[in-house]
Amino acid sequence: MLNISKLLCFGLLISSAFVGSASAQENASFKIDHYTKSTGRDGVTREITYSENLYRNGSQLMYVRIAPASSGKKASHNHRDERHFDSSLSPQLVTLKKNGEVNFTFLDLDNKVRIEVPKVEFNTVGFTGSWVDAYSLVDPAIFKQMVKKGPGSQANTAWYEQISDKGSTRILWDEKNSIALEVEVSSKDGLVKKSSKSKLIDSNTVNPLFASSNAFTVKVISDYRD
Amino acid sequence: MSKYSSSFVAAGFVGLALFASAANAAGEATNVIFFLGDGMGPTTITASRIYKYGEAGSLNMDKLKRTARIKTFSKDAQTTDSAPSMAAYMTGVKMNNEVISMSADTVAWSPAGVALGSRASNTCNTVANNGTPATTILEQAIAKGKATGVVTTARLTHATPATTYAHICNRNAENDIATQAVPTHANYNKALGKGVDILMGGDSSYWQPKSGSMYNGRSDNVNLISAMQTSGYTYVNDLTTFNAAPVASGTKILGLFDQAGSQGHMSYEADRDPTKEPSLAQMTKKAIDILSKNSNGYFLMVEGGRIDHALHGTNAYRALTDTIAFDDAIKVALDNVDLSKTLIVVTADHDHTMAFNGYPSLGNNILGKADNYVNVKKGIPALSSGDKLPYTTLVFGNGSGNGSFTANGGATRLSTRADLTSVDTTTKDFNQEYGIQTGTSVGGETHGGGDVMLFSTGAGNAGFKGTIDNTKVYGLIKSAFGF
Repeated sequence: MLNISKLLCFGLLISSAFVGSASAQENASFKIDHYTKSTGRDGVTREITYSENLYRNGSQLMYVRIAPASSGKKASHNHRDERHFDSSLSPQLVTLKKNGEVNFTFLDLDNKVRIEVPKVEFNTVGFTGSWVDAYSLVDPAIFKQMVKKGPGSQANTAWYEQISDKGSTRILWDEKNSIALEVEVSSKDGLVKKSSKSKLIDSNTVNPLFASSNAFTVKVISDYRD
Repeated sequence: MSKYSSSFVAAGFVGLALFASAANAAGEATNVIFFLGDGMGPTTITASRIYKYGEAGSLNMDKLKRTARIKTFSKDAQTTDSAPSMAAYMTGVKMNNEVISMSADTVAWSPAGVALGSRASNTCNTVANNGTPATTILEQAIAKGKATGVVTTARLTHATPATTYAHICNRNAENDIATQAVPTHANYNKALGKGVDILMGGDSSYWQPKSGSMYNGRSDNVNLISAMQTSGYTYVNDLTTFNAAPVASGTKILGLFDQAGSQGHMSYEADRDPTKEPSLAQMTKKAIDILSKNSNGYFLMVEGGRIDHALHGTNAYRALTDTIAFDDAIKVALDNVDLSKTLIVVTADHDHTMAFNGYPSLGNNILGKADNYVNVKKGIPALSSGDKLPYTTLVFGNGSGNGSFTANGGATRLSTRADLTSVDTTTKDFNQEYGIQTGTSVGGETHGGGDVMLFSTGAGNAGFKGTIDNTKVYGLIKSAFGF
């Protein structure tokens, strides 16, 4: 999961206020394509792309990195190596509890294990702790600091923009699905460009892993630290 | 316990000396306190010193009389995990990674789905004749009538404390490890006599069935806490019960602190509520107060267990503050023992990959961005890297932040380096940058294979010098005790 709110670093202050899951599309799933192109002052340009699927299920979300077909499955049944399953490819489960707290869990599919990550460890696995960030890719509260530039090409969508002394940010917001369809961030010097594009792939099908993972063995991330 | 190997014989290594020479004044020490900073490599020590006392200052451990370097490799790995490295200190045997105080031939057998963090029984007998227990220094102390204690901020069944009182082929079978400390249990380690007197650490979930707010519990639904109470242990689980526990001679204490919940250990010092959870220094003091009443002396192991966990998370702040808490516990010991009768040893089980980076100026915040001693004179605030972005003085060789931005402007591995110009890198939740993405490990940053430091003072410390193998430390302790 890439926390896009943290990409919006060119002059935007990101609200971490909890706004809940207001979307009607609470079982929707999306494919998200991430792209970064950066040119260092050393003249080297680097391009990075990766994709992931976001599945919603009411008060739960799941991010699943899309691995290249040629990558194959990593063996994790070596008698020594259970500790080193592939966390970057493992589904990441985010759960909003009734009291507003957010849980983060890795799913080790090979060993059928849920790996709970306590709040104090969120940073170490790259999770901001924000349900809204995870649910919508950006917190819509930031639009108060942006200029509404007009509707998008699809119904119920709108472009927002902010230009600061550090660069520009443009967001195409899908009101119906409560998600950022496009996020474009550019540094003022043009050396860094980042984008994320989301596409609705299903509106009603709940990923069966939400239910099946409930039967997984529960462990905690400290079990993996030697 | 039937045997222990007096040396390891592997890959051409023959006969590392375990027994110190007569010049080491065997038998000087009535008491031994062994301090283990888990993962506390040389860079962590230096950074912690600067953090608390400045470049020219000294940690309490720095002030000990004698210093040595320790080789930490295990029988099968250049880079060890805590199990064989601590077991080497406790038994003198060079064993395989993940093995807890067993003979050198023991295989760390753990088929998938059973071993890691397992609440199921161990699978050590999956292979026949899978090793024999290696006698620990704690067991020998009990045999000599000494009182014993194990105090840690990690959970009591974690590798480091487990090596003192348990024997098992794989550190991950923690349900079984706990039973070995319970006098009335069928798995009890009879070499512990009437039991380890003081056992204090985190996480009761391996000691009792899941109930209430517990994040997990024993899979066999056996309540080992009740069993320990039946065996005469006073059970403490918060600061109030801890303070109320007696310190009379012969007192036995089981302390399991769950304040950190699903972290699975006691709280990091940076997060600890001092009104609810004792510090490592407080636990050390309590242990010394009780154990020192035994006329035959005592052996106490004190572990700063969470230094390692913070380093795995590339979180220098918590690593340094836990190192300071560990160092404060050393001070408590120094203030409360008679060094003419007591040997104090302070060391680590392994290094990590944290590095001290750049040319920061004297007095620069060790958790801050690296300035440059030359640039500072010119009024330039921070040294830029080749990509013109500032970096912190402390960085890590690897980590597994999953390529994401992190809360509070953290800077774990990103698709491009974060611009830290406006980020406060000295906060407790900042995660340092690292070089290699260990995406295949949820365990985070790895251990390092470099040597670690050892400091010692007090009775029988003369042999703790030079660059020595971790197995030799066992022999030096044993010699100091006169065993």
